[in-house]
Amino acid sequence: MESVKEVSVASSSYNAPLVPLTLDTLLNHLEISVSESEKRANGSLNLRDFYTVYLIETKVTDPNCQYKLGNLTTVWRRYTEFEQLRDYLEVTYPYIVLPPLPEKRVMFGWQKISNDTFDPNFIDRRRAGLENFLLRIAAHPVLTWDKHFIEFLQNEEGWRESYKSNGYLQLVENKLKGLSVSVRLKKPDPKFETIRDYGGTLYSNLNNLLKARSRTAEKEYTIHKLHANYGRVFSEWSAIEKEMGDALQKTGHYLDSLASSIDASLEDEELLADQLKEYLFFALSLQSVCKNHEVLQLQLEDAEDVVASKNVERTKVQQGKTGLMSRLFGAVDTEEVREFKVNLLDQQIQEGASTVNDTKGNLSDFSSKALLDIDRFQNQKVHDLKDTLSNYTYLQLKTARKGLQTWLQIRDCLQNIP
Amino acid sequence: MANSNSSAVIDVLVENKEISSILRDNQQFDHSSICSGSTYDNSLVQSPSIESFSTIHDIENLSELNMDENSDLCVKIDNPQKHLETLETFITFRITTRVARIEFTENEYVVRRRYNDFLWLRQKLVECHPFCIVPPLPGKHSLMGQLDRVTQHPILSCNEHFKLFLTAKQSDFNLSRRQKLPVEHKVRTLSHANSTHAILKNRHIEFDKTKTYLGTLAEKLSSIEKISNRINKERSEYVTELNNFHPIFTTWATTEPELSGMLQNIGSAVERGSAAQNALVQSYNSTIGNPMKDFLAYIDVVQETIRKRESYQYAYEVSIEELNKRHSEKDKLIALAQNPVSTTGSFSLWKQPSCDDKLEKLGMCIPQLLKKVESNQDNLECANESLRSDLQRWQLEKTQCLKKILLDFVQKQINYYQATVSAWEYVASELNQQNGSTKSNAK
Repeated sequence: MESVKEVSVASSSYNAPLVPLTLDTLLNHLEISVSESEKRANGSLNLRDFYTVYLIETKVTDPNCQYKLGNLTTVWRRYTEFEQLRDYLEVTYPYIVLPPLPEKRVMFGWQKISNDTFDPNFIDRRRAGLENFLLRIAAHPVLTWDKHFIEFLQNEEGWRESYKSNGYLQLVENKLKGLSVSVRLKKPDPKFETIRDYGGTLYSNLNNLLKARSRTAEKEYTIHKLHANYGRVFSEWSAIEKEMGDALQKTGHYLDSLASSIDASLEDEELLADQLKEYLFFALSLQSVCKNHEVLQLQLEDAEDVVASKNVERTKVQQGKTGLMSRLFGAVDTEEVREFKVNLLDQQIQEGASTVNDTKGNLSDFSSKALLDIDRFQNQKVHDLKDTLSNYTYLQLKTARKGLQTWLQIRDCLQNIP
Repeated sequence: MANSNSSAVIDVLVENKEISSILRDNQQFDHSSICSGSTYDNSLVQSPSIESFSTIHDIENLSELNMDENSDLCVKIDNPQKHLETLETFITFRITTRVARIEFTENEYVVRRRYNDFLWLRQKLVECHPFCIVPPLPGKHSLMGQLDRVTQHPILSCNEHFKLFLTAKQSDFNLSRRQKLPVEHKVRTLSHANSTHAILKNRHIEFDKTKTYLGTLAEKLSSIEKISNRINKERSEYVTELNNFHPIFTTWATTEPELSGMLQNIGSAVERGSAAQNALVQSYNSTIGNPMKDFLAYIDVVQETIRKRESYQYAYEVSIEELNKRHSEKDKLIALAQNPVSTTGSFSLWKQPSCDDKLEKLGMCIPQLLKKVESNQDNLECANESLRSDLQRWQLEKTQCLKKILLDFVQKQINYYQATVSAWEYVASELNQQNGSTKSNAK
């Protein structure tokens, strides 16, 4: 396999998607950002319903761009519109491991992370997540030039209308119905089975990890904040002491700083948790692709079943053993009737066979595209998670070093007591 | 070191490992009870609460008693042993003394004493030196602490009962304990001593300031102990969460061949952090919990001693008041005698003798009162002097003691953070190595 040189394109707080340099993506020509958010009210004065909108800004960076792109655009979109875009992409590109949206509701919340979706911190993290979502699509070799995607980025009203008019809503609903049916395949594809199982374990591991992490974060937070109580008491104590006063006062200040230092490091850690969350949802995307494969495979098996049963019927007719009537009364079809039936069945068999071929073609087409994208996804995943885990390590080290330094300073202080 | 023939000495396992596991099993124990009555699975049978002795290590030989450069008296305690006697079960401790003072005939002494003996010693010291600040004995874990403080006290360490405590053989010691001590050693138990509401006419500013200071100090130290306790509880829960957290990295590593090394390294760093945190949690009692409690008990002793002094002052003031009352009574009577009120004959005659009687009584009573006032004043001045000087000494001791407690506490924190830093430094260095190698592969 040729080693494709890949380039990272950075997003605000997320890992940069890898893009093969040989491929021309939208990002080579357009700068995309989700820069702001705004709270808006819906409905009449009596029934106020609030929602948040996000500002998508694009800017053409390449003056010689031959593609039709709006030069400088600003578009306000709310979360549900992003969902609609993603639904459209799911239906249109069922073989692609689609980038996920940031969480709809707060997951793995703890003391500092409120469950309120209007919390400014949550909104800002969602904003970053939405930007990352768009950048990932813009960097994707298959998705990048999708017209509706570009329209989503640049044409506020236009996209809404075309979404309605193209009946995507209906398509999506149909598809969701189809997926809810449980599938039992005669000959499941082992490759896709493995991938689906992998998706399951990835989800479960990340889920457990994120849950456990949020609980440790909560404890760490509580412990540090309690140290502020020390700060107060040591200051009060220093007021009544002569020789110890100075050292106690300083110790109190150091303990206060210990208590306040935790905020920044836990905020940084939360950003890393968001990166892991993205892969939690990516695991679901992966399983989606496998599910789509199953649906196609089922179609093929059904088509093959039809042909097989028609063949059986044809043989029976040929031998004149058809119908309950003939078995009861021993009546035999006339030559003419038999030939007519056989011809009809032959026609059906031919039609059926061509359906099978088409379906087979679809399936193999799907499989090859899907496996290609899954490969791309796995590479991206390794790159991204290595980044996230490295940053996690450096963050832990930094926090521990800071703590050590503070306590060493406290020790020096106390040792100066005569 | 067998004591009386009738007692069975059972060698107690002093190995720290055993005891720390018992500590874990029995989180709550009562410092003051001698017999906990609980049974353990291993060789300790119905032992009195021996958990508190985990810090008492056996001294291999006497040369381990490193004499401080300037001290002529060094005392160490170790080797708790359980004794089963017909009527009771108790623990004795081996007290080893190295001394270079004239009053002591030998240079080295080794004796065995039990907890009650320590209580006796303290009682005697308080009786002999009512205005010295005698270190308290709140619990069995504070035996060494108390001995240290007494040893370092310039007055208490010279006390004859202390000498007896350190040197007498068991049988002699028991004998002298039961002896009735001469009365003059007993401090006059003043009924006023208990009345904390005794209002003094002349407040002694210096001692009052000390009282206020001690009250605030005790309050602050108590707060610190409470905060530390609370934090320790949270830490212990944190350890539980960390122990749920790190295995997930290991599990995940099994399905990610390319990330496996990294995930396992991170998992083990979290595990090491958790173990270090646990060590911090376990050290709480010995680092802050007990020392703080002991010191607060010590502050109580100081407050009590100051109150004793106040009772002396009160007694003195009361006696002065009484004397003055008698004086004014006398003066009134004399005035009456010199200027008799002219009334009907027999009446005035009748008054005269009772007036003389009274004067006679006063004549006897007043000198007695005067003596009482003088002796009270002497006592008060002695008490003031004694207390003032011991307070000065105590203030210095207090600073050193608190400094040590705080430094111990801080050191444990430093140990924890150092362990954590080194755990993550390892992971980071592994990462850098990997990055270095992938960069060179890409070339």
